[in-house]
Amino acid sequence: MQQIFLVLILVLGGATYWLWGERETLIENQAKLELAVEEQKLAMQVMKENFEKQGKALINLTNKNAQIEAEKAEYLDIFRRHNLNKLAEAKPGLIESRINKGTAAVFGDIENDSKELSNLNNTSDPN
Amino acid sequence: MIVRNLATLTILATLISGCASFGLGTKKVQVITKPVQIEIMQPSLPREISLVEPQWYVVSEAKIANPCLKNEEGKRDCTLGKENPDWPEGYTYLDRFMDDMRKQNGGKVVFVATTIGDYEAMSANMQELRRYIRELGEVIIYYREVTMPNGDKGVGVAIEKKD
Repeated sequence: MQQIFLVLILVLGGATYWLWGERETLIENQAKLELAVEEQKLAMQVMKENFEKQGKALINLTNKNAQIEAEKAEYLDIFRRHNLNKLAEAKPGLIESRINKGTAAVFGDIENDSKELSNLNNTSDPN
Repeated sequence: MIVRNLATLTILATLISGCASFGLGTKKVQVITKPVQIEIMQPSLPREISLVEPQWYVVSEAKIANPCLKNEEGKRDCTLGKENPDWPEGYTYLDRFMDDMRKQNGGKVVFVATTIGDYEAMSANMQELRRYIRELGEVIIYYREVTMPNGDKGVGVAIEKKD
């Protein structure tokens, strides 16, 4: 009788030891998974921030393009508002000066536009 | 009695272990998360544009004013002569242009001409080119902005999971 109980106690002791090990592994796994979930949340947050940043940059790009288009239309409107033919016929000296100044201004603007872009090489932050 | 106790203990042991002993045991979960540096090489941007301005001449048959010279008091006095004495009476912008061309080309009249309408077209084309350059520039800025956060290279996250 006592022998049977001894065997049973040994079996139960072994099972308890094994279960204890399983419990430790499960606790460790839970901690790892919780950490992984936290990391995933962080990654999601970074992705969300990047997405928002891209959205803002895209809106900014659209606004800038609209501004550029408007500026171009404004320049071209000068020709619509004035009859350059008549003006040149009546006051060629004045128009010649205006045309040469205008050409210099446009060329200067183009040079500055390309300079701004070229200067991005020297800056890490585009803004 | 012994059999009954044995059965009870076996059932208890099975219940306590939650049938885990029938499985293969719990595997250790191994999760490896590696931040991956996305190598986006930012190309060096082209050097700025350098343009040379052309000289435009606007010519018509309108007469060029040739005012009288000023006297000591600063008033115009036609008895002193004209500011440009070599200009004949009724000298026009066209005459001056032709004279300038002859001077520039060894006495011959050679020049490239355009109409007012074509000049307007050239101006519009120039504005269109400027628009394109500026919009492309904005696209470059956009890409740099989204790929270079805080001046660093773009960073993404890749997750490698091992069971």
